[in-house]
Amino acid sequence: MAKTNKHSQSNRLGRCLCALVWLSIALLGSSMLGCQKSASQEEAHHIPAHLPANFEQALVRIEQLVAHVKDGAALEQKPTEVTVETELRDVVRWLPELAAQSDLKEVDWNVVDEATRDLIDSFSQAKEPPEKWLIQGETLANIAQLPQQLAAVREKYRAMQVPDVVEDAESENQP
Amino acid sequence: MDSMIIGAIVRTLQAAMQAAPTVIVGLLVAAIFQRIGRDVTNKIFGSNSWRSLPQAWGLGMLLPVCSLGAVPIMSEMRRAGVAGGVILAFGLTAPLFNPVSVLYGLTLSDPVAIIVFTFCSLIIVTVMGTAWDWFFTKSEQAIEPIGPMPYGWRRLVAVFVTMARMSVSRDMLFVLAGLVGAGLLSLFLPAGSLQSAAEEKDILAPARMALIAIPVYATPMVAMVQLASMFQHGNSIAAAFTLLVLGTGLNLGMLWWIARQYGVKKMLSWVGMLVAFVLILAYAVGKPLYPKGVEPAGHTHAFDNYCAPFGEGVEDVPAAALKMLNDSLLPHELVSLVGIGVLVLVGGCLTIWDRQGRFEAFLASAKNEELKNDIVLPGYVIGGVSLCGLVIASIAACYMYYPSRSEIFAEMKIVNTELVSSATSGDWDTGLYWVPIHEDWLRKLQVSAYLRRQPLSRYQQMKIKIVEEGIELLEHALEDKEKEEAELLGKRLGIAYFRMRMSFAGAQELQEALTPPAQHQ
Repeated sequence: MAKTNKHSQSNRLGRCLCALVWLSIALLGSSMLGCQKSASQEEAHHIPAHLPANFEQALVRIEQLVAHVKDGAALEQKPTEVTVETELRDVVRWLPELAAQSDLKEVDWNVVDEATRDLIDSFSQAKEPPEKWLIQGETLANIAQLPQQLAAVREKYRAMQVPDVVEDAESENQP
Repeated sequence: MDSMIIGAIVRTLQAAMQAAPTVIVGLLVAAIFQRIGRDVTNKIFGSNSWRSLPQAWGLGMLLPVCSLGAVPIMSEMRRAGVAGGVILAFGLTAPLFNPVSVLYGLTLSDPVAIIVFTFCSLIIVTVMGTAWDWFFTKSEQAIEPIGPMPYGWRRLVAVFVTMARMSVSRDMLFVLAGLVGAGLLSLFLPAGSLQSAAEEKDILAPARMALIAIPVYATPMVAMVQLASMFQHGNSIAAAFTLLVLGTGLNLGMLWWIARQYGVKKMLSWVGMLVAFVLILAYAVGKPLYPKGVEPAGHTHAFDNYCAPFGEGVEDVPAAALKMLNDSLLPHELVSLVGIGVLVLVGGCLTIWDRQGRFEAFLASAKNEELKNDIVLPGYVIGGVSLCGLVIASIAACYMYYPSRSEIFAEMKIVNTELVSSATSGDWDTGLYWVPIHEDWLRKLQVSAYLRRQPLSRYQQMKIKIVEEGIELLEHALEDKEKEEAELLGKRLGIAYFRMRMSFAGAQELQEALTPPAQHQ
């Protein structure tokens, strides 16, 4: 008898739970169908305005931003979409990829990767926006050292530069 | 309106193409279960003991079936008197993983995440199977066992005949319902409308995914490709898990099957519990498994195939539909569709002229022949060989599906040339045809390296990432028919591919490739 009661109680509990779930699904469904996006609103790839064109420009920008944050040097090009700290973090984060968009050999690219790996790891662990932590502690000092650490790779990068495909395309389009 | 209906038909037919190979496997396994009889089938699934649920999970992991191919097998399990909880546990697990898809997931998603997902699926199967048998006891159904079939060619013919009969049985209506459900879903989802449906910061993403995932039809491989894409794009991991379990494990046909076998109330109760449990687990594992260092892309194309295929700008929808179907039909799917066609033809003839099963009675009437130089293998030997064969075939399939690096580069060279030349010449449709093929070969390159223990260096991984990003940007330019941008991105992709290819070459090959021709002489 007690077993039957227990069984019917658990049955009731199960039914209540299911009703709750299906109700939630129905509510969610109606809210979702009400806010459908049309095909014309397809997501496009957003390329950040502060993405440097190449590895060299990224290093130049790091130098400028570090000088601005540390010494208050004036910035010719101020970031438009993000803060200075966020731009600095992003440019450091993009360094390995920008370096890989070149003919740098693996051994040279590894220098860039090793110089930035710990910094990028620490960026991904941060839970607060860069304004709160980037200029504190060792992070800024480590970022400031990057141009010097990568000086040899930078020289090689400059030496092997071929005309950019953008310039190629532009020159082909000109009469 | 016409484009929506044609779009739904296209999505239904695409699902049918993808399902064809695994439905054939499902029919074969179900026919074998019917022929070996209820007692052996019951034994395979643990004879309704404490071992039944883990055994159903293990078998489900090994068998290469999808949620539609699982339906005839579940029907046979039901006829064999296997407990309802075990049947549902098998039906839910079998479509989730197979060895090829797990290998793909281990390489292109986070291995820890895939192991956790696999473990979570075991928990779900155990809990939901136990819950079913707890709430709805005595759900197993006993049937009269069918007579033994003499061994040899008669038994093989009997399996084929059983497959043919099953292909025109009521089980196929459930399969059709699953396919139509996938098509109908596209009526409610405009083209590209799910591109921001699984963002990490969107707390409702897993719940929304649960809603979409139930009518969705996805093969294990498709689901794993989507999972990998979600990891790479920094989408919600909780939503990815929900998609894997509910999108791959369930479909409308399977729900109808459960309702038909056990009643609508039981089906709704069980599915309600399942959704709730999956969401609890998804929210629990989502945050800890989120990949570190991944920049969220802000959108994903992983679910475009569940939405309407045609947007507003398509002019000749019927022609576009035919082209889309033609492009998406793969050779093994065509062979499987022909195979199902043959089975349906034979099954239809048998249903019309031999409803009573006289042919099977004729096959069963002969006595076992006296064997001279042959032996009759005991059941456990055949079972053991089959199981080992399944494992060996799975390993072989992995090596065939992910060929060696040299083979991949030979194929990718052609694909890359076609894509770049289509982009630079403004051939939008051809370009869009080659985009997914190029992406597929890039993924195979990474899985092949993992499989053959040739780990990729960080340098090579970065070069691959740059090519992947280049393809994605080019895809958008091709979709928008932007001539100048497509040309520019096509050239950039060509260069990125060359650099990626060179990262796999030796130092000497790299030097030769970069040296102008005059210096070679």
